[in-house]
This record gives sequence, C-alpha cells and structure tokens, in this order.
Amino acid sequence: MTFWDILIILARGAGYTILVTVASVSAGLAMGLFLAVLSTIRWKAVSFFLAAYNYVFRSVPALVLLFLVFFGLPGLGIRISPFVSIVLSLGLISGAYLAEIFRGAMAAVDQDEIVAAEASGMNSMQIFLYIMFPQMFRMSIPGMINEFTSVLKYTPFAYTVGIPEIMKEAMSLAVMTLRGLEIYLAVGIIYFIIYRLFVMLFMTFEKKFRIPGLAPE
Amino acid sequence: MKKIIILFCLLYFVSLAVLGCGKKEEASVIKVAVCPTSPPNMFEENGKYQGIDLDIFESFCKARGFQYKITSYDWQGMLGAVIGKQADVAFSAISITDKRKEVMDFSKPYMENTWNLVSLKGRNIVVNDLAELKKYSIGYPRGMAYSDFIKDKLEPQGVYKLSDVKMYPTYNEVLADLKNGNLDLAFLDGSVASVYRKKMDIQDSYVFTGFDMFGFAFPKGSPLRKDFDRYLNEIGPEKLKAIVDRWLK
Repeated sequence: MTFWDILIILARGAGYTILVTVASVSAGLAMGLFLAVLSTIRWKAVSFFLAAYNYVFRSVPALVLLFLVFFGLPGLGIRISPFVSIVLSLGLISGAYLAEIFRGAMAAVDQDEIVAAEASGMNSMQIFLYIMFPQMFRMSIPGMINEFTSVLKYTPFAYTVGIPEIMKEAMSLAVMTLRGLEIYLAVGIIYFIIYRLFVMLFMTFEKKFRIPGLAPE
Repeated sequence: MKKIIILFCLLYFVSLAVLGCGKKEEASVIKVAVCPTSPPNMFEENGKYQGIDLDIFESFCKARGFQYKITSYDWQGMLGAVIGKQADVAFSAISITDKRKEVMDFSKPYMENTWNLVSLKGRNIVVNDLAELKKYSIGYPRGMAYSDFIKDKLEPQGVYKLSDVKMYPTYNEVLADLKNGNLDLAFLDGSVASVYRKKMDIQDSYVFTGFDMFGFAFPKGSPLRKDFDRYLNEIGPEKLKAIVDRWLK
C-alpha cells in the first residue's frame, strides 16, 4: 500500500468532515447573528440570557457538550441523530464565539452613519440590512475564518457519536496496517487541504466585499 | 447587498435541510455499535466490516430473521451508545468486567482473551515452566494491565520481578526491540498477537489464560440479550469455537 492509497482511503471520510464543518459553521453563524442582534436590545433579561449563554458555551468543552447531548438527552426521552447532536453541540459553541465577533464588528460601525440613515427615513430593519450588516460582515471575516478553523478541528469528535469521518478511517486503517506514522501524516495533509480550500472560499468573499482603496490588497 | 442576505438564507436553509434529514429508523432493525479497531474480533478492511464477533452476530440474525445496521464509534462512544440505549447491542472484543456490568448487560462469554508472551520464531524460545521465565527479558508498553498481574501474581511466587520489566512508550518500540534482539519476550493480548503474527515472524512462548472473557454488550434489561444467550446455547460450544478458530488460524 503506497502513501497515495492511504490518502485515497482517508479521503472517504473527508466528505463527512466537510459536511459536519459546514453544517456546524452555518448553525453557528445563524446562532451568532441572532445573539448579536439580541445584544442590541437593552433589556435586563436579554443581557442576562446573553451573558449566561456566553459563559456556559464558551466554558464547556465540546466533547462534554456532545456527550451531554448525545448520551444524556435520551435519558430525558429526547432522541436525536448523531449528525444533529454534533452539529447542535458545535453550532451552539461556535455561536457563542461568533456572537462576540459580530458584536464587536457591529460596535465598530460608525454611529454617524446610523444617524444619517435615520435622518433619511430608513426604518430600523433597513438600517440593519443596508448599513450595519454589510459593514459588520466585512469586518468579521477574519474572526470567522478563525472560528471556522476551530470547528474544523473539533470534527474528529463526530466519530465518538458514530459519524465515519477522517479519524475513523485513520484508526481502523492504522490498526490493520500498523503504519501509524504515515497514516496520521496523511490525516494532517487532508486537514490542511480542507482548511486551505475553505480559506480560499472565505477570501473570495472578503475580496468581494472589500471597499476598493480602503483595505490593503 | 441582497446577495449576502440571500447567501445567508441559503446557508441557513441548507443547514436546516441537512438537520432535517435524520431518517426515522424502523423498529425491526437492530442497531449495532462497533469499534472496528479490534482485529480479529471486529475490524474493517477495504471498507468492509469483518471479524469473529460479526460472524457470530450475523449467524444469530440469520437464524432469527433479524435485520441489523452497523454504526462504528470510537471505544468510549461504542460503550456510551449501549449505556444510553442509542444502540441495541455492541461488540468489538469487549471484556466482561464488574464495572461494566453495573451499567450494561452482557451475554454469555463467547471467547476467551489470552495474554501471550511472544518471541521471534528464529529464537525459538519456549517456556514450559514459569520458573524459566527469569532467564528472559520481558517488555511491553507502559500503563498496561500486565504490571498489576506481574506484581500481584508473579512477584509473590518469585517468578518475575516488575523492576526487571522493560517498559516502552508503545508497541511499535516493543516490537522494534524484539526484532533487533534486545528483547526476548513481548507481552501482547491474544487478539493483538494474532494481528502481529501476520506481519512478523513471531510465536507464542507462553500463554496465560483464564481471567479475561469477551461478551456481547446490551443495554440494561434488554430482551434481545436473553434471545442471544438462547442462541449461543442452541449452537453449542463446538460450533462457536469453529467460528472463532476460523479467524485465529
């Protein structure tokens, strides 16, 4: 078996790794955006909820949360599939981090622009969609890439709940061929490729939303 | 601007769609949890599950007309799936222990796990009497259960001292040293030994038996376990041994 064969066998698991990452990041983005919008509401109950959410999901380790969701919830009579449980766990955690990234980016939007928008008769929904969101999105791209990489590296936990991703293929291959070093090197290469592809995707977004002349090329 | 919003909506709906895809499984299908890193009991080769445990379970399902669906987990996940009743049965060379019995039910033992002292075929070391053991060096990775065994069983009998054992980080180093002739005997468990036997010229010099049994693991109070035990009784020990031996030879 050549190194190339090993790469091909491991690549079978890459589909699941990418699927789990994309789904978790999407869930995290939705959650993070929701929380960031919530944070603009200045009610005590809301800010208490946000603080609690932040503390809980940034402190609980991903594996612990996954165990609670997948093995704990059935005890309460709630049954969910392995895929939902990993996406839910990683989505909730990355949602907490992304919310902070979005909140910071939102705070960086010039207040004068919002006043100007109000003065020209835009309602708050329009202000969010056309003034705040585009700028916020632009400013949060670097943070989003960071968060994406953490989620990508959490995906091996998916195997714990029975999703056959890269590490599963690697472990069952290693035990049969006893060539651990080469196999785990191949795993590293595959993760690098996935990371590279996603960063390229994010970079095209960044380029698209960059203001010509404002950011360095 | 609309594009970004549309993009976000798309992402969101894709994730929702993917989330919604969790199909409902039929009740008649037995959900099996395995950890396919335990050859020859349960492993994966060329994308196909194989092994002793699977053969036994397959013959059970065939006899009863059951359907089953295998999901592979890592070791913790496999045991967790049985405890949390996500799976109806788990098998992958699971040793029956008192600790595990507290949280799951085991079938009757279907095979015994041995602890083997192996040596290079070329050296032709055969230990007939444990008293001869002192002449040889023994090695295995740190943190294995063999240490307790040597300390509690062999040391009081004056057979071997734990301080004489060579400890290594992993089996890779143990076997490399064995190959180089720096080590006489390596401690392996029987199923691991059968894998290494295919890759290198090693033989059993001494085999310890009688303390480690494998069983199929079921959730607490599982009705399937009773049926499975009945099946093991039906086929009898000879037929069971024939299945096991097919893989060990």
